[in-house]
Amino acid sequence: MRCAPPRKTIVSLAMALAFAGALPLALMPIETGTSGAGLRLSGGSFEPYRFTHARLECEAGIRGHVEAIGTDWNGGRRLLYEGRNEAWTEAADLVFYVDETLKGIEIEADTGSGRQSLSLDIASLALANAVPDDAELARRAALRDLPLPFSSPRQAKMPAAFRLDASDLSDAASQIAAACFCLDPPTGVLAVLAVFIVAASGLTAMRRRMPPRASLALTLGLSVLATAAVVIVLPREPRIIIAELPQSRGEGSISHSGELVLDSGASDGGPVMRYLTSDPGNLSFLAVSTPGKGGIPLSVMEIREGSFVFSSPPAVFSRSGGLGLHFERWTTGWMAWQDE
Amino acid sequence: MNIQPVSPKPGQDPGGKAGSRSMAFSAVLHMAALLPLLAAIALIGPQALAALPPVLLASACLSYGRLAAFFSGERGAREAAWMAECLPFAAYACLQGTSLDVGSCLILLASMTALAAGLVSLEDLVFPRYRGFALALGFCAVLAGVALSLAWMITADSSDPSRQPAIPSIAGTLGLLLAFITRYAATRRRR
Repeated sequence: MRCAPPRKTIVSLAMALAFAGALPLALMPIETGTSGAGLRLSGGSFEPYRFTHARLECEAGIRGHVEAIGTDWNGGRRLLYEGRNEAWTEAADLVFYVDETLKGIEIEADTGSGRQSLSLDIASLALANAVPDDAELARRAALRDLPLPFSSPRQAKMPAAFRLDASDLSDAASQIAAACFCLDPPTGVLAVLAVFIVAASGLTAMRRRMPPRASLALTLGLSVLATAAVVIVLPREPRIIIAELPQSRGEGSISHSGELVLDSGASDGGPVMRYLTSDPGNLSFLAVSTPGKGGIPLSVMEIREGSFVFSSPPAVFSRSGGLGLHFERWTTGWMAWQDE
Repeated sequence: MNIQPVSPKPGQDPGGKAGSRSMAFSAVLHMAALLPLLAAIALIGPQALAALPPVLLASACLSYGRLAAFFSGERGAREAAWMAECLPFAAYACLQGTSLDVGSCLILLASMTALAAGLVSLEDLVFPRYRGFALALGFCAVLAGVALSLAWMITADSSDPSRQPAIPSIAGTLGLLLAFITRYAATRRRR
């Protein structure tokens, strides 16, 4: 029986073919991302597994909605960036996460000459900046091979500390996710629902003497009130758990073991919960929960220049308070950086 | 199984000892019916809730209300009241398990409620006297079937987030229309 080639191999082959195809384009003296007299994109490294900061320009001016949609090699589409400019500007800063599954980007913006779009090919953009050397290819290969367990949080208090004894990276990721990917138990909401049950039961006793329609109206009113209370009381704050991975032990061994302690200073009210170890390596495991439209500030990721890999890539949103990241409901990932 | 609600006999003092005992009994029964729903959503947790589409979670809660109404022998408006009482539980289940924002969740709940109201009205029109368990089960099956097809339609093109509130809204409007038409037909039949 023949086995289908792994997805990562297909992606790598497709990337290699795209680089080969785009090489002549990269050597030509063209301006990156030009689309006639309309939108123009400049800057940005477009290196996989990093956040790219680029500049969108338009002589007619940009005002209103700007979005970037990514197209994957498998044909899937996903939102990369969404922002809104309230005032006229000639240039807008765009940030988006690039990984090896991304094939192209389509940018749409409201400009002085109407809604305009710009299509870009990621491979040619990346090659226009630099042809990847061996170190860069090794970095990509290492990130591509990082295990990403599917994990959803359990309802429990986060442990103040836990012991990690992992035989490999996959084991470490699973152990960290199981130990510290927790959401606080929703005691407030359960209390609201318990009060609602008592109130509804009391109303039932009384409604036996009411006309059916009046009792229905009262019950419906009570239910709407309780629903509103649930919506208000239910905790919907985003949370990101960053756990430093201890350095691997022994020669040739890839086991990771050590005590991980919750940094109480970093977890006061904010979305970031950090687990620190006394002997950190150059990898941190991430677990993210973004309910509803909530997001994680981009600054959390860019506190130190590194590379990132996620189980589902995030979209960047421009908000009044700065740039935010929105993930699927629950996402895991890795943050890696070079030895200093 | 056919349980009729206990009503005071003619000439009996409704505010008397027997009346207040009956009121307390019905309140306790009501509480006993809703507590398992609370216990279930408290114990299930976000992982299991996330595995189900929110439309299906809402329909499960409404179906629970329909079955509770059947076992307490209620029909018509009081049956609808039972289902309305399950709405806060459905709101909790939908918001806890999925990445739905609050607006989309409320639209979804209102739509599913309208759909359930339409089905109850239709049931009242077609089977005005029948009170069997098969009818309650049939209602739950139809609601679950509609919820499954809505969930499939929403996820068929997941890159378009506007489908999330739009498709349940259409279903909810159709449910409301069904409710109005069946009420009108029932009124004409009575004449």
